[in-house]
Amino acid sequence: MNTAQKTNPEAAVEIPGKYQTVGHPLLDDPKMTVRSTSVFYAEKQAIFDVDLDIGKNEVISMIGPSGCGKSTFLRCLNRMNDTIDICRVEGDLRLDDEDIYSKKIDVVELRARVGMVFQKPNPFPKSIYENVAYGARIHGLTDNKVQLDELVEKSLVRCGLWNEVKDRLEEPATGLSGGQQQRLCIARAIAVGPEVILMDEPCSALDPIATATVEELIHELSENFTIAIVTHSMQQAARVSQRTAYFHLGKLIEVNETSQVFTNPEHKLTEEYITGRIG
Amino acid sequence: MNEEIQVGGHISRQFDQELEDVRARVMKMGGMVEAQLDKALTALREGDAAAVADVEKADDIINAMEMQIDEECTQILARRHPAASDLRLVIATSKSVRDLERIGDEAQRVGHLIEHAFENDIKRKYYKGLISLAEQVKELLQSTLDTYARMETRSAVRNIRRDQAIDEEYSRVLLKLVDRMKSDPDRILDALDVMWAARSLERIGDHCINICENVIYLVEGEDVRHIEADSIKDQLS
Amino acid sequence: MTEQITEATPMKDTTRSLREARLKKRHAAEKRFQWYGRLSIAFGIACVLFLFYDIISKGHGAFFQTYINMEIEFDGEKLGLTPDSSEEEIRAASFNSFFKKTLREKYPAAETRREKSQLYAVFTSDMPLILRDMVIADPSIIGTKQTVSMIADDDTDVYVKHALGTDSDISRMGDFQRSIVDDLHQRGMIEKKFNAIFFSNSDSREPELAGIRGAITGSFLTLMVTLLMSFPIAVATAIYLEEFAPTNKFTDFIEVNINNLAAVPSVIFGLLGLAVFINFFGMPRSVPMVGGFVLTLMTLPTIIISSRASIKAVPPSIREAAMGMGASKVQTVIHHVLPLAMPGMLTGTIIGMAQALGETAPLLMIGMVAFIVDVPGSVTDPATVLPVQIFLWSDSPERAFVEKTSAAIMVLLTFLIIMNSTAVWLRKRLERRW
Repeated sequence: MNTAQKTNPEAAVEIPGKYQTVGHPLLDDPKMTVRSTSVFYAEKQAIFDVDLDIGKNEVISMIGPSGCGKSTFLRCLNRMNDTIDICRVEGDLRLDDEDIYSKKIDVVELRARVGMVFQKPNPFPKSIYENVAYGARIHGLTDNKVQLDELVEKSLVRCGLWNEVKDRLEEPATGLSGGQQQRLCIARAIAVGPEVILMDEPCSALDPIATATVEELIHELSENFTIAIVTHSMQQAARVSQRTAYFHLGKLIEVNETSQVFTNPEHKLTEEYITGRIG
Repeated sequence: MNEEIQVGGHISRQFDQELEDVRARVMKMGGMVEAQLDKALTALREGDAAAVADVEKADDIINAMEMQIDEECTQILARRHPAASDLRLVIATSKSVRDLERIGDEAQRVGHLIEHAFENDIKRKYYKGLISLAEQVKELLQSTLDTYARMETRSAVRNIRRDQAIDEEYSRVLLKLVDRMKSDPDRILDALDVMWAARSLERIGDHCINICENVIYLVEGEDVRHIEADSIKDQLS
Repeated sequence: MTEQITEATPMKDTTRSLREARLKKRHAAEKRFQWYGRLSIAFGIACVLFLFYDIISKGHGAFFQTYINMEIEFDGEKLGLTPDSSEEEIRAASFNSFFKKTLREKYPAAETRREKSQLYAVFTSDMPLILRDMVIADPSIIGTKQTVSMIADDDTDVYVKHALGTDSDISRMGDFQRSIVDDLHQRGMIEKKFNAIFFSNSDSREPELAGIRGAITGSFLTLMVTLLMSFPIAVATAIYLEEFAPTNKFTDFIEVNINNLAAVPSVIFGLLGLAVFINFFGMPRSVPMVGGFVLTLMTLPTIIISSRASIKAVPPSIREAAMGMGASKVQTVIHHVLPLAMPGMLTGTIIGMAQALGETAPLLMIGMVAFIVDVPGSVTDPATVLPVQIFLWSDSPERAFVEKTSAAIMVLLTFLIIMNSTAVWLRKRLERRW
């Protein structure tokens, strides 16, 4: 049988006991640390024992075939998985050395510190202004209208959206183009002053030009924010991130500098994925 | 880990085909370049310029092939966005093709010089040293093409080592020629022809080394240019 | 190899001809199916048109009432009153005999007792009271002659509307009475006017004095109770079940039961209301409050189901966005889900209300079928509702009530149509795209 000769991608990671993530998953001075983290959906395990650090002000991208658990992993980082009843997270996840799954942490506060941008631009069906102001309102960040106006303007300016929308702040956000909507969602996220921004395939619903604008924005934001981005587009990961993590069937296979992953990945599975041999 | 580079196996079989096509074309081009060198060697061995008569025509074909392969590499970069080993394959191929073309040029030049020298009734003792140099270079070229075809690091490293021998041989040929020039100043022009030919052969060796280095980059992902041959092994481990 | 190739061409031709033959059948089937649909719709429209034609043709008459304009001298002597008489004195006066005397003077031909009573019966039996009220309102008319627009009796009304100048014996009138009406008609004293009584009076034994005001007020009060009870309960239930409740066997059980309740015959809710609210809690019978409670039970499943559907239709991305911003579950629901689901909820509510408005059976069970003359002033006053009024009238023997029944149905249908179009309008208006 020639199947015996073929390399079985799964056999490659199924080392008895703990499998080894290749590359450099750990950092010296991380913003977030994830240790021995597993995620279960009811009885089904979606993430296997992941160790990963996310550095300060870095852009880390997570790639992998569909269903590899990269989005699930991302959602662990601001406990968005809490909203799913059957989802259970095990392990130690820390933000600035605080256990984000401890009872002391208020999930509302956590999500203000770890913001999220979703796959489909999902502005609230309210005005552009209200979209950006919403977070500040619920978290009580401003005392008066003047401060709120300033915050909205600042957030929109940072997302390069101010000049496009300043004359129609009261118009519904749903009237904006897809790319503008997504940038509005990013503005909305940064308005509450997060430390980390999670992005779950933020450009998958956008055209290439809008994608380029959002990618440019990610690059600019990385000066002040730590960004973790899940993407299906390997080119996008290559373009925007400093480090790339490759997930395969719920396991973190490889974490390395993006420049290395896309020219000379260490793991055979990474190689096969980014060269289009599995997926 | 990447001891073996896989070219096929993409989900897109067309991509496999395109990469395979490029490789096949490179091999064909390599074969033609080798034939050019072979002609020069034959001419030297037989003392007859007849063998190098059509180096000109062959060189045109080689040049055309270089352009075609380069175009294909550009197309693959533009349309397939290759990554990792595919990317390295395309880059290494694109660079190697350039070296192959240069080898072709040098082989053509050797042919011309031999032609010129034979027209001037050069004595065999002048170019005798050239034959063994040419033989060594030809072996290196063959081995290099093999290395490229098999994408193998070990033989690439071996080839890089082998170039040192060629350099030494080249120095010996030069020294001998200088002696001859001193003793027989009337035939200095003949000696110069031989010297230029030796120089070209040595250049061919260098280009072979470039190709081998490209193969190492392709297989290992490590850039081993400008590194002493002996320390390449350490770099790779 | 070559065989396959030579076979391939004829194969292609046959598949093509097969496909074409099939295509014709498929087109025919599609045409046929469209025609089935068109015919069903045509049948439906025909039924509705017939219903409307029937009701309107029967009921339009009820919106007009026959009046007889007659000059009446408020003779102070006959009444025993002066313009300065006090209200008590006026009330004590015998307007009945005054009215009868006046009529007898106008129609001396009425000699026998039978003829006299036929004469009086031309007018509604409440006429003396109406005259008295006129005098109470303005005592100065005593001693003057006034042209009074007098309400005709239902028999007169029916005769004037349908049988005047024909031989048909449609009303229950005697010959003498008929001759008087004919005479009044010839003298141009008979006039048909818009029937304000129908809208301003409550139920009455006399068809010409019977109106729907009490029933409409009763319906309104009942619906208010229903709305105030069912909307908050249903919305709260729907939100809890959709957004907060864990999915387990218990919630599944609740869900199944809500769907089952929607299919329970409404009369069962009436029995339940009778047993629980009236017998157990001892609430009064026939009151809008109990009616509202019963209808609440009946409309709850409808509103819950439509509210849940509209909550479900809110895209999860909106919830994720809010949660991702750090909004709590309740904030997410109140700030984002509820506003988006509201049009659907309101539509469901209005449809539930329309259903409740048209409901009769459960209200019969709790005694809202009683004959109630007074317009209810609060939810604890005995009342009846529009559909029950229709039910009552449809049972009455007087021919004039047939007309009233149809007219009341028209009023009910108008309300239903208004409510349903409001639902449609609301949905169009409030539905936002996201």
